[in-house]
Amino acid sequence: MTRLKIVLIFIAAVLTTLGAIPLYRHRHYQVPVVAGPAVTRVEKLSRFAPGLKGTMADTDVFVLEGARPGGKALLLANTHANEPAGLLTAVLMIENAVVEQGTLYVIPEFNASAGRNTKPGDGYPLYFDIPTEWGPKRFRMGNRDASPLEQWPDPDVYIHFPEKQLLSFLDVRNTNRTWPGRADGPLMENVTFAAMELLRSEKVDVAIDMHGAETMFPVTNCIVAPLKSSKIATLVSMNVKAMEGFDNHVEPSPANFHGLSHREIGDFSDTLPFLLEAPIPFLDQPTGPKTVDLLLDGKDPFLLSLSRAKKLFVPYDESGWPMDKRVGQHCSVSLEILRQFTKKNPEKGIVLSGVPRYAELVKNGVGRYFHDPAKADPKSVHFE
Amino acid sequence: MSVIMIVYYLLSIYLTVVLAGNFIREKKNVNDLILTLLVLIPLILRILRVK
Amino acid sequence: MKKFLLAVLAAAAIAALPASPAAQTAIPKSGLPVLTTSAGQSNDANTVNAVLEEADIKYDYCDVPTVEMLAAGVGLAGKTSAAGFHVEVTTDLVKYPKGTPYKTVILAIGASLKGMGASGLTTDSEEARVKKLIDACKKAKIFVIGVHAGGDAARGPAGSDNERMIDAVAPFADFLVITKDSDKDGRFTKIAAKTKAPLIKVDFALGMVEIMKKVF
Repeated sequence: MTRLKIVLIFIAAVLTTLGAIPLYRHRHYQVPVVAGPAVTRVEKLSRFAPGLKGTMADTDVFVLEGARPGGKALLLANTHANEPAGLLTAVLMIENAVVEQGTLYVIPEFNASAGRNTKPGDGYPLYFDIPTEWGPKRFRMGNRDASPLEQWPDPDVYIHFPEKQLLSFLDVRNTNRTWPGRADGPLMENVTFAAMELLRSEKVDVAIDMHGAETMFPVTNCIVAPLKSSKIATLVSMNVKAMEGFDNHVEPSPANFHGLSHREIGDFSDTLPFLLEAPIPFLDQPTGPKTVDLLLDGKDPFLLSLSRAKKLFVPYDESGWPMDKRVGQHCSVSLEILRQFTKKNPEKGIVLSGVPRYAELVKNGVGRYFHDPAKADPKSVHFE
Repeated sequence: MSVIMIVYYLLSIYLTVVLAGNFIREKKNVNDLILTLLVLIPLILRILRVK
Repeated sequence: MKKFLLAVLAAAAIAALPASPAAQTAIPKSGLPVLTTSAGQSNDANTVNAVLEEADIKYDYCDVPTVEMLAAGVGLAGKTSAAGFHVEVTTDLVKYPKGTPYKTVILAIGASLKGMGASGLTTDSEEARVKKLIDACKKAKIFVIGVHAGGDAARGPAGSDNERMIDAVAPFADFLVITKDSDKDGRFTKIAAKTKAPLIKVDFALGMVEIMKKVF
């Protein structure tokens, strides 16, 4: 029996170690981001909430300043780190955008802990590679929620602060349910509190939170906007449809669903919030295996048959919904939001150039716009 | 790290010790040995701050 | 041979003629002040308002106006927004003081259960409200424009919420402006042919800006 126990312990130790090593490597894998010409400084989010300092949840805020003074915008990505189109859009903006007027704050890994977390039980890939002219650029595939290594235990029921709405226990680690947050709450509430402090203290005019949603979910391929943002959102929707040929309808932000950025940013600050959803077939439940190919090209035979049975909320065909298309949507919609805001507020304009729009991204691929960190000035390379 | 999180790590260490003791003391049931190891794996990964 | 050549030349000349005026829909003229509202509480009411703003046309808006509010004219009887009830008064009050009767009402057709729920309405009550409003418009000789900008996504099988809103507005509208996608089954074309109301189809909602500029 003793010998059997030793054998069993050995087998368990080997299996545990083999499983643990890739998880450890994933958690500590660094993605290089080359700061582009407009980046004047990179701060830590803990500047706005000291409680984040020294934690994995503290994340970089890239500040891109324009030659002319104007308004301010905040771009958030990886609120849900398993919806990577936003991350790619944010990195593209950091590496390429030239700000002609105003200031752009970009947080590519808003839920930094989720970006270093993995989803148990669903066989998700740990990484995905975007082909570029200089070789593949590897990104971590994260999870929707922060890692329990940063915030543990979960309550039985998450009671939202301050609205006291009862939410799922998982949502205490979901930075799209913890807005507006508080300085002395659980860690993810610190994260959203820090972002609220950034918005309020810097008097940010526009906040854009980039997400992905399943094709079987009605709130997909859209801009979610509260009443105060709805006029701009509607104009954006009309313009991208007419000028760029893709649909992006407007969904009103429900007044009684608390914790989401598109609700609470508008209610607790003067900032105009917009939440963008691009379809991500990878997250749909009835798909084949969760492979990197499915993540990047969105092609799945089960979704195709569901599409033919009119069960999806997007026009889905054999071409899937490739990553380039999703990033293209996020780029175009974000640029159009800033353009429509600038039209209405020319003295507080936020004007960018050097960022490709939908058609260019679909044609050239998102990898074309990433810069080789090996060839960049080391001082301009930041690790996320 | 918050106080409650420290408490949960201490609880995890305690449970690990208890389960390890059960594993050592178990003399007959191979199923129980395997199940004990299975339950120990996530606890150990959490204590070592891997997952 | 000569007769054949003449026939061919005549046919070519006829083919070269511009399309007869009857085939091009004239855009009717209407007047201000204008009230915009929703039939079904979808976001398309925002689309109509955005179109008017792009066309530099000032308007009053209420998502669920009553017959009394319509009769009160510009200013919507001084009502203000509340939960599930939205009012906007952008009409030029110098040109059209409060109380000036509306000359035009624009209804954005599109059903949203979320929108109706937020206003405390069901499809039945929304349908009844819209019908009452249109009856009041007809009595007061207010020009009714029905707009359908939601495309195929704002359509459905017969009897669905979207189709009920179309039933409540389109047959009674004095002018219909829709996106081409909204009329894949020719429903609006058939309604317009029956009521003789002018029907304009645009490729995209943005195209309605030029239409509205010509109406007002």
